[in-house]
Amino acid sequence: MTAYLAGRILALIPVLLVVGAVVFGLTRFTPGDPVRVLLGEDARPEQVQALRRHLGLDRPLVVQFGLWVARAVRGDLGVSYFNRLPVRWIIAQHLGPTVMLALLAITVALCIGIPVGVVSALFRNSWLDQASLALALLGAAVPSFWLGLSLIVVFAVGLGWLPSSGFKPLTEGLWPSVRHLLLPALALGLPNSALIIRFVRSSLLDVISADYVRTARAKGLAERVVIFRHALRNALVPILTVVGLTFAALMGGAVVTETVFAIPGIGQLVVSSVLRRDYPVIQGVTLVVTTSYVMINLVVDLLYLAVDPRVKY
Amino acid sequence: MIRRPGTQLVGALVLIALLVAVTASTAGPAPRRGGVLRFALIGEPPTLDPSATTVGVTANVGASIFEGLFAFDRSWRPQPMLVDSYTISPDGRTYTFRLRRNVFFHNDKELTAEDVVASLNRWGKVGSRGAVVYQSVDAVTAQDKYTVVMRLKEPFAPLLAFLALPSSMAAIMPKEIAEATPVGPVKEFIGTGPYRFVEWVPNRHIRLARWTKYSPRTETPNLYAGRREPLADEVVFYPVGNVATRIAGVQTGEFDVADSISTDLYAQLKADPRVVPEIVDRGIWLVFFFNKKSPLTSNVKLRQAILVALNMQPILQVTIGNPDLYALSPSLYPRGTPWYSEAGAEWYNVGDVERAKRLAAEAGYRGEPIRWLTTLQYDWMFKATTVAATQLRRAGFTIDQQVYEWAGVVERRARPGEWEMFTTGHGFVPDPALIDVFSPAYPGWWDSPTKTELFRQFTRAVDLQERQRLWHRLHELVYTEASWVKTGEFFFVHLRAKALQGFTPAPWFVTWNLPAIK
Repeated sequence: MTAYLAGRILALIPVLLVVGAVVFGLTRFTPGDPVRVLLGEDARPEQVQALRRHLGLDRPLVVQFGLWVARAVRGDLGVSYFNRLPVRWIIAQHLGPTVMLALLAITVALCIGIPVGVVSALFRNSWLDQASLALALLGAAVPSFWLGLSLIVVFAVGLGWLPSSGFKPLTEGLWPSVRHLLLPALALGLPNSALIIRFVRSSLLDVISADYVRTARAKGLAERVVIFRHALRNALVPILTVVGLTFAALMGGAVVTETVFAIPGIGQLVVSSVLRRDYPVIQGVTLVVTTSYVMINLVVDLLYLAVDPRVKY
Repeated sequence: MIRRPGTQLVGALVLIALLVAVTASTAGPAPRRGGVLRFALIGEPPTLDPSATTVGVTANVGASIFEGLFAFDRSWRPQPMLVDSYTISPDGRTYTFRLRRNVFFHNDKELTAEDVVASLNRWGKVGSRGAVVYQSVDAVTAQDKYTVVMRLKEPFAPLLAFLALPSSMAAIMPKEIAEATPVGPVKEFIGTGPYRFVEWVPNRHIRLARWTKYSPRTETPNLYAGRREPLADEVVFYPVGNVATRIAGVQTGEFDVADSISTDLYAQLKADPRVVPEIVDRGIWLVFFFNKKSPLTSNVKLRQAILVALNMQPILQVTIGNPDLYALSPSLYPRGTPWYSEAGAEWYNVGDVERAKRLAAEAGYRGEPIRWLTTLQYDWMFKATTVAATQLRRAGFTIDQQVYEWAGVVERRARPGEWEMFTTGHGFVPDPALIDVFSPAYPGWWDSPTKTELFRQFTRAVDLQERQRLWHRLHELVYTEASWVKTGEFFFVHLRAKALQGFTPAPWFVTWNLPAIK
């Protein structure tokens, strides 16, 4: 087990190196110059040159990459070209909103996905199943920006129940913070629930026809106990996989939703950094997101152990 | 006696109403102090140092923190701001600025001539407009604690306009900060403005607070000039990239003002009782620059052919839509300003395909592709380019429309070998000397001998009438040499909450003399 864990974590090193190199290359070979974005349209060539030297952008690419790796190994992700703040600090600032939003969105997705999926499996081929299929298709098909804007129009502009945008950190109280994230969590959670509905339905159907479920029914257990204690528990492994993948994807920043709701999360940070060509931030975020993706997958793999005793590492 | 129960109440109400009316009429318009002003910006500024960049978002925030020696009034004339009085020598080469006393920086230090000298010298290095001015500057010195002398190598007529402009601003900051940052933007934002910098949480907000030691001028407020009073306790700027979200935020009362809303929604928002769309009446020129270093468009005949092929009305109609929000005119400056001119008007808005074909043939054009850089990041640039390209194709030109994000356009247009035309917007500038097309260093690189000589005379002439005479000739030259295509002008629209009284729509936010709603 320890060897397995150590192996998984050590495997992160080559992954991060490759991702770091690819992102470094992509940012440098994409047209666009951070210095010109920073100085504005009318900057004179000599000013552009001076700032480029100042930021170390005039050095050969190999040297720039080497310096970046040498610092990153020590946990120093450099300094943003724009606000001159440490990249580590900037990422930490943006991680909070994204984690909160991801947790809320996954909660929304589960609260919808599991009950609807269960009902859909239990009443297979009934009108309830058809309705859940329609809901899932709609959820998967609706673009998140449209859903987000529609939620704003209805719940913020029309009814005035919830704020239309922005973010309040937890330090300003749990309710103000959650209130600001409810609409974006819905906008993200609804489409993600579609996948969960379908997965819960199909894995539950697999399990329901298994022998031990028939046995449980035969020995006179209440249907509630059969479904929740026996069937659903055994259907959990594939569901866990989907939830893990969805959560990991959300941690990479829900770019569109964060932009629509002006949430200062990782997604917004990536977009604004790419548009400005803020190389140190783009590289830093990629490393952090890659690490969290790998770690979430690791946690999911470990959760299999808890859910299914047959799994051994 | 039986009284009707309501009589007393009615009597009391009438009395209260009378009292309220009397108090209101005698109390005068003492503006409300306190509260927070909330502005939704179009995005995150690259820096808050307005000296180092011409980026509009930076100027929008920086104009509240920093001040210059001069500031523009409503008719775009530079008026003293940090300067108390000034003199110009008869030969136009020595400017003596006497500073106001008891003006304090946000770090409690009093403003002195040394700070001004250091700030201006830094602006001459890091500011693109400062660098233009400093080509003519011989020396800037502190004559005494409150007097700054600027000596020029040659007269430079638009000097005061350059010193008053909020973008690439000649921002005055403490000497220590100015001298510590000779390259790139400063990290400490300390000025003399009505609001001081408090915090900047990236992608979340920029918070400013009233500068309690602010000493306002005494003249009547007049756009950026005159008395500035920080009425609100705080001003908070939020970066909100999505325009629909900015609008919804004002409708729901989360923001007081939203920067640049989409013009398509103007009519709809005008009917909304919660908000007021405000037109900023100094617009943006929608322009196409020609590359004078490309073998194709270095040929003036070919540039003229493209100019006469274009019909500006449909371009602006498709791009902007609502006719309230754009203007078609050959003049770069509106009627009523000193710079209004119709010289060269016969080249504007022609849309003559036959003449375009003739001119192209004379230029020896044989259908070589004209590479035109544009972006989808600003949808108006893309729309205008697409309509114009269609018109040009109809006139026999081969147009290779190349779409990048904005940063890609900015990088490519700096390389003369990669393009023939690019689309951009040119913000309002109060003096024609500030227009990019005249700068031989700006992509497009217009430096014909006639233009260079005329422009030199124009910037040296001190007398306004002489400058106007030269301006007409330059204005005509912009058309006859087809240095760029100015299609027209469109106006930005800011959205404000209806309850926010006293808001001034202007190219850069005026946050002072503005009472907060709550």
